[in-house]
Amino acid sequence: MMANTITNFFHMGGYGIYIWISYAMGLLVIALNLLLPLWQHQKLIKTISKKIQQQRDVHETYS
Amino acid sequence: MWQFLHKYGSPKIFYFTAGRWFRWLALPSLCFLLIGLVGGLAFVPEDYYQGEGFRIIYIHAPSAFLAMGIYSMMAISAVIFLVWRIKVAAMWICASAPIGAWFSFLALFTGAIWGKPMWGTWWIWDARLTSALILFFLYLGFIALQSAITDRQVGDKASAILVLIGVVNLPIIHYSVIWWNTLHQGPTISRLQKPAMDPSMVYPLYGMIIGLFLFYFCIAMLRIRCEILKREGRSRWVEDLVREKMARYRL
Repeated sequence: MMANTITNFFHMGGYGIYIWISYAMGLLVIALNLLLPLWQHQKLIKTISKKIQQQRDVHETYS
Repeated sequence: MWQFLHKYGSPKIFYFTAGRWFRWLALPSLCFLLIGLVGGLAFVPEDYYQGEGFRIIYIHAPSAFLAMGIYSMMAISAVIFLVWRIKVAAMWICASAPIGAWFSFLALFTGAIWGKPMWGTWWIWDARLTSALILFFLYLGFIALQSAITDRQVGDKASAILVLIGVVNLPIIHYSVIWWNTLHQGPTISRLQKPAMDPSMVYPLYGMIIGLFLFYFCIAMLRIRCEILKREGRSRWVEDLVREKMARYRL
């Protein structure tokens, strides 16, 4: 009975494949939109910190 | 009003405010999206004409709504930027464009998948689909223009004007199903009368729409923080901020 309900849920009256691809794509787009700016932020902080480090190194060799 | 604009118009203050807004908006957005997701997939009864297949509406319509909503917000920011020269407004446009591109892509993609079983075709060149595709291209065009012009001031101005020109597409998308004969069904909830859907079927749609708009504000905050770092990378306060982070994480 339970297994039947679950199979029916995934089958979605024959529209299963269409519905699950749509929902999967929706989740993927949401996840990517959350992760991409977080990664970009981290990368930017790293680039700026590298620049600061270089400035510090230059400063130390000449002083 | 002016004090408010000057306070939040400063990139430094906005950087920290944006971080706080992101944290406040994340949880409510998730809750509304979950209501929409679970309601739309499991609790809503099947449609009389389209069976279970209509459940795609809970992804398709909200993402199309959001794609148009983001564009209108970009247009408002473009006016604010062109009239009052507020830098944060230009950054807001830049932060919004990729999100708009993603969600207009999602609307087109789910629309094609919905079209296959219901209309028997992935794509037709009718008014609604074509104008939605043009919206997607407007977003891509904006991103291309922004990255092609290296002079920030010229780039911001040119792309703000591009956004304003593209506004003409919004009413065309909205009324395309009324003005022209099309396979696409008419408006469901974006009309002045009561929704063309039963209350028991419409609540996940509202959940998704509210959830996605909150999500947009949420991630626009993240993107605007990146934009501020990119533009203000050489200013004193950014260096101080990064130094503080370096000390904390021992970079």
